[in-house]
Amino acid sequence: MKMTPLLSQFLLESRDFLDEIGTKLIALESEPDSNDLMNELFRLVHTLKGNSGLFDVPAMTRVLHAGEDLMDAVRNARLSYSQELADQLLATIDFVAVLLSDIEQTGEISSERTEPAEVLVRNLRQLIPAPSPDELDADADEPSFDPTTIPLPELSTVPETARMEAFRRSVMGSELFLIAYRPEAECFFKGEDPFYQVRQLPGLVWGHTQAREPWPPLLELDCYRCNLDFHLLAASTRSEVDEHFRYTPEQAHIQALSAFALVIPQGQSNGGPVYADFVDEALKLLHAGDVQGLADASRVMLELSAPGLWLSSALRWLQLIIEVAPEERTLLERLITSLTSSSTAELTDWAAQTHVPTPTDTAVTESEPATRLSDIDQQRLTEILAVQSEILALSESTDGLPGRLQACAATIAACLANLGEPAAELDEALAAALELNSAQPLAEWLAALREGMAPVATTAPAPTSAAATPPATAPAPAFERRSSPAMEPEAKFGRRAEDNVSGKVLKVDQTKIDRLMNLIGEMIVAKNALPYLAKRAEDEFGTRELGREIKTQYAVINRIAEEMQDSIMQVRMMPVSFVFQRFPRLVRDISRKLGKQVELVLEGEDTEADKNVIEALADPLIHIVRNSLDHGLEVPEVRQASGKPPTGQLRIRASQESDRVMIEISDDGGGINPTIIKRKAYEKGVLDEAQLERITDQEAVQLVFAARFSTVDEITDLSGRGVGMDVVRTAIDKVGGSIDLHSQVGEGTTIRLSLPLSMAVTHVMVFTSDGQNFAVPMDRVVETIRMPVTDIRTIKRSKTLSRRGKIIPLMAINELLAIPAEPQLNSAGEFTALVVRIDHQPVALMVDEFRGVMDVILKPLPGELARLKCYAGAALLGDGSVLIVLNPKELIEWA
Amino acid sequence: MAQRIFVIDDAATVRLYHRQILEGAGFEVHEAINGIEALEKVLLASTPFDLYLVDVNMPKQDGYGFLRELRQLDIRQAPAIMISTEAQAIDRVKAWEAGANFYLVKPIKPDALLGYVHLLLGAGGTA
Repeated sequence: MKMTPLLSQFLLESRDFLDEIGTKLIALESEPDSNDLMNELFRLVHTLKGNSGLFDVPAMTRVLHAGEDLMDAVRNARLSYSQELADQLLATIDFVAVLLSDIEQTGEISSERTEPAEVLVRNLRQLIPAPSPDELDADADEPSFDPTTIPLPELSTVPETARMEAFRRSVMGSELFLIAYRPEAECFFKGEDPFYQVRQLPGLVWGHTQAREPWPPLLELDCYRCNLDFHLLAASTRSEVDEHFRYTPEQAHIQALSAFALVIPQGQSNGGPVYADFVDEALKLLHAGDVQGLADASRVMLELSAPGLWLSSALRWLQLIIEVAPEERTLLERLITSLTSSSTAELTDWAAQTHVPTPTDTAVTESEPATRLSDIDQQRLTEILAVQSEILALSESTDGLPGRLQACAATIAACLANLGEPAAELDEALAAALELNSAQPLAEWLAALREGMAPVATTAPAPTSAAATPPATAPAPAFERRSSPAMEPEAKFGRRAEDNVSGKVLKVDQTKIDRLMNLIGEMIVAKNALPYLAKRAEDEFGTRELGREIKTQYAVINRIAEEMQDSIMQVRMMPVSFVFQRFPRLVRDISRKLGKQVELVLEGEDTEADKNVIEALADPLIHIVRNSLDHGLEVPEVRQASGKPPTGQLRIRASQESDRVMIEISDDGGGINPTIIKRKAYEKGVLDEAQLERITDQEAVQLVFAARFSTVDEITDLSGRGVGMDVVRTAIDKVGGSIDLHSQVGEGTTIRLSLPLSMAVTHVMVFTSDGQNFAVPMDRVVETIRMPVTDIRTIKRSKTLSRRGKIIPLMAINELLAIPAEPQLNSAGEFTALVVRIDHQPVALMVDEFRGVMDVILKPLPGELARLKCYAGAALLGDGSVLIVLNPKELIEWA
Repeated sequence: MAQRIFVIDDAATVRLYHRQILEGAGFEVHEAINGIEALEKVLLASTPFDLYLVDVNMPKQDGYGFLRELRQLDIRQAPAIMISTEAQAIDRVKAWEAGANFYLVKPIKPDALLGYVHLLLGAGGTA
């Protein structure tokens, strides 16, 4: 634990409490019957225990809890005060004092204390007499126990298949309920069988058990007490569920659910690219009402995506909704647009607001809710309103009724504000209540409000769920274990957990891991042959059944292969600190040599990336840092003259953004002067006169990346060794990264590097041209577009497009590759183009058709062909054909 | 203007805990260490508080006592959350009769606390 103000406050206050408890205990020896002293002691121990609960100090909390229970027994006269009891309590406070010193000195409780803590707890508990049977019964029959205090499970922990099943049943007319059932601890003695009870629940879709308190050590475990909470998802009717729990209504927290709340796509969010064109196309299909087309498009996309991805999960939901509730346009649209961000936030917020999809409900789903509350907030809100009902239902004889009514009304008003509802009617109800000095009007108004808010349509059809559910789609309610692999993304990367156990770290020769990496690469390519095989089985041999089976098997192999690849890649991950650690020394040495004062700030050193990426990063990064020190940061005198602190700052920050590592190197030096750059560029022939006129300052600054460009006149032995920033750019390009420079004269320079997490697989966009497959790396792709031919404008004999107010050049890939064929148009007379980014400029490439995105193992072309820079490499496809991956930058410059 | 939350608890650690969470979310936090001090502060406050967090168990005057007196004051009444510990189940009826509007069980996780506080202040959800 870190020493925070909160922790020091806790330590300080705890000492005071211990002192006071000690004094009170001594005082109690002289007047053992004093109730006041007893109550005060209880309060002190109770508060101290409560405070300890804020920190992770289980030993202390357990001991104090036992002490508190003991004091409670004394206070309630179940036990009389004795010398032995005082001794034990004094021992307790001494022990707690030891624990506090532990925390003070080392920040945590020594592991040696566990044993004595257990002994102490046992001793304290032994003094507490077992409650008499009467008391037990009294406790058990406590009628006022409120089932809504039983915590409900988070919907996101319910497996996707179960949620989908529930969604289906809801569409078929069932109501949905999320239930937390907490049987009494003594239930076994009453002949109850909670497990049987749960299994018999009508319309049970999913169930799960959870220990309500942490399991005690085996020796202390009382196996005749029920320590389980049951979490259930049922598609049924309210009356059936209520009937089922009729004998124990206080043990079941039953919450009605909207089917939309179940639509929670889950999975890895950083595994897939954004299928921008799919989203556009899907929305188009949706708006055109082409549900079948949408179903087909999403199925194709789903087949292309790894099942563990968030994206795939969203697509599965999309398919389900298309299948069973195609009229839910808003939901479909939300789901499709959520694909661009791979984020559920918007979706769930919205879903929490909406109702069960019934045909009559469309008016609600189509209008935007005024405010959005998340699922959990929605639950809390319902809870708060339920309490207000309870309050208003109380007898009215107590004092301060007007004040209480006003407080209730204020609470309800807050709830309304959260929902974006007006409070005018509430004010009327409150005024009426105050006038009558009765809670009645307010209570009635609230009852009406809550009824209207109930997430389940009150007009739901009456048929029993059994009748409404076709037997074919209703598998026997299965009890699923919570630990399905898809739900534990952490578990996949076992390495992290094991890393902490130093004894279990294994040193492995890197070549062995590289071999594994190659093998899995081949495996991924090999498995891609299966879909082709399935297609052949269908098309050539006419056995659809076999084709489908191959596809199913492919899905399994695909999942395993991807997980395996993930795990192997994880093994190869290294923190950037591996490179960063050289900098403090480097910066110190160089800045001394140059007579500069520089403070180096490193951030995000534990960001991880593939070993190859980290290694490829080292040289460019050192070069950039040297450049900054040499040309960027000024000597102290110059800095002071321009009103800056004499010490310059150099900041290197690493962070992970989805599947990329971002490295930002920024200094607060002199920045790059665009005028000087322009002049130099002109002198060196990088720019001609016409270009010199046109170029903007920001563009000029980018010229430092141009080949053979160096901005400093005198060559120092540091950065000016004839190696310019062009080398840095080339090195970064080579590992599939990009570099971005931003500079402000007098304020400093910031360089941002964006690198892939791993170089093992390359994300490519595949397209066809004249019947051949080609691809470009995805990190170059800006967007894919389809536009009517008539939109092409010719400016000075060059084809261009107007895109978001910008003119971008348009080239045909056939022309660039010298393929003698015209680009093909689709039936609507539209051409297809891929917009790629080349040196920050978008360029559109006309192609024939898109084939989607693929992960390939990119191999450089062999022999002489390797010198053809316009090819990034080649990859083997699943059907055995070779895919040529183009390097659009070189291709365009070369042409 | 930041909404004003009044934290009434005898344990300094708990007050600091709540203060850190609530101030972190941009609320103005006021404290009292028992019901009597709390009432004084309520009466002296130039602007009424927007929400009360009241510990059940306090010396001098406990949470029930404070709320009973608070609700008899002629001020703009605001929602109150009672805070109890799990060992001492709260007496719901007694709490409602005293004038509480909700209750939470210590220790309260920061996100849950903020969630309920936001809702009770009509500030929309947090999650």
